[in-house]
Amino acid sequence: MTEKTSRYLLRRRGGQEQAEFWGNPVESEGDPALCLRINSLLSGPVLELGPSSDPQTGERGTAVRTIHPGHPDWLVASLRRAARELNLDLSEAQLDAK
Amino acid sequence: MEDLAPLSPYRSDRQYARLETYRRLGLADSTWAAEQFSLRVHVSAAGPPGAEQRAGEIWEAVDRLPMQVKDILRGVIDELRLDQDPSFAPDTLGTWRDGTMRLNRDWSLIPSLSNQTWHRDLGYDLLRATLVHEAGHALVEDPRGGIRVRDTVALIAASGWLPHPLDDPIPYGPLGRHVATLSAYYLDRLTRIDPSWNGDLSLGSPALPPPAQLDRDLMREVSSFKRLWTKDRGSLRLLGSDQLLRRLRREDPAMLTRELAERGLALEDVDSALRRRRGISLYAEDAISETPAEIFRCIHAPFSRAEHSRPALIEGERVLLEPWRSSERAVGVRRPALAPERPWESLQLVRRGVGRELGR
Repeated sequence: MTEKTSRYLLRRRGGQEQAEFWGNPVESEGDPALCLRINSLLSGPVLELGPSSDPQTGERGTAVRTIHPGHPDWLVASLRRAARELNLDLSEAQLDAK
Repeated sequence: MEDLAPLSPYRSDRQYARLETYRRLGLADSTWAAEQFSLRVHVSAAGPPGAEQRAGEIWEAVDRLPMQVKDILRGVIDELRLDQDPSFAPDTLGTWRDGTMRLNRDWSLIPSLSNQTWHRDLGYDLLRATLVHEAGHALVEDPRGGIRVRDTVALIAASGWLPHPLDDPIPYGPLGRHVATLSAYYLDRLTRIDPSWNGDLSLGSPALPPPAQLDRDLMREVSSFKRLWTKDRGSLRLLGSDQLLRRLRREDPAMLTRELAERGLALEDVDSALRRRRGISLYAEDAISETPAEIFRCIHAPFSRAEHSRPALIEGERVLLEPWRSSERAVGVRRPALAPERPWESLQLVRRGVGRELGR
């Protein structure tokens, strides 16, 4: 059984350019200029909001955590941020692809 | 049973006056909070200095919140507390529970924010996100209001929560193509687990199990904390679409294809179902009980038109915003007040020669 990493596709809205990102360390293929722009935003840790809960009181709230490169959520968190900044559509590659 | 408040209990006839106006008149921020939001304010003096400055930053963030969030603060939050860090679970920015919103005043003690020179704008973004998300919980779960269980389940269905296709193939068939049919199916299964999940009751109703039980009854994987606080009695075993995609990718494609075929599904059916509706944030995919509040936050975030076309946010607009808008349309759009609503004291200020500030 081979473990596949998630592959993410970013597309320019209303345009032809697209780029695909995957792996750790991150690899990419697609439109060179778009890959360059996205890659420039994929560095360092990402801050993400998430739930917190107090085991003593049951109180729930919002916590902040740092997602470091290498964490399973890091690439998608970084790409979501990049997609927002560059106004791109983000999706995952096909389930049965590569 | 008690009468539940309608979904839009937050619309107030009072006009809104900005914090800046109060400050120009030399009035305390806490006066503004009390008058504009009917909020009791508690600022913990314990811990490092700078509590008042921090409180000022928080009021400035509150002043910039969307009107609907301000209405929630006014309508269903009784007290806002700035408490010191040790009273919070680790890394917590803020919490909401039954009328009280607590904000951690010592963010510099949070590890993620302590070892970097995080910019004031980032602090504002995090603060705004926390305020809106927690206000979303108040909108969805407040015992005096809240949204119907049926609508909560619709938000969950629209956010891409699905069972593993080998556990339950039905959502991958025709029933899963529309949010309405998928959420009706989820609700039916949920009431089979516990009939007290009445779809027509508000999520905050005391007649329902607590929101943490919603996670236990719907999710495949719940935190050990929630296992401790809730009962184990079967579950729909839903997963967020990203988690499910990752899990399916780890499986042997040939075996998965064969087992799906035994259930009348092809890999393409599963792939298209997973792609049809996606989670809106990692936070929303962390727990089902967080999904509605995260949808509320994302609706109020500066997202693009394309992002707002996502099913979760469209459903969120219908469930979380439209009733409030209908209420506003019925009454008419408010205009900001020119002055604090304190006629007697305003009069005193006019006499002292600051009447120009009041536009009089």
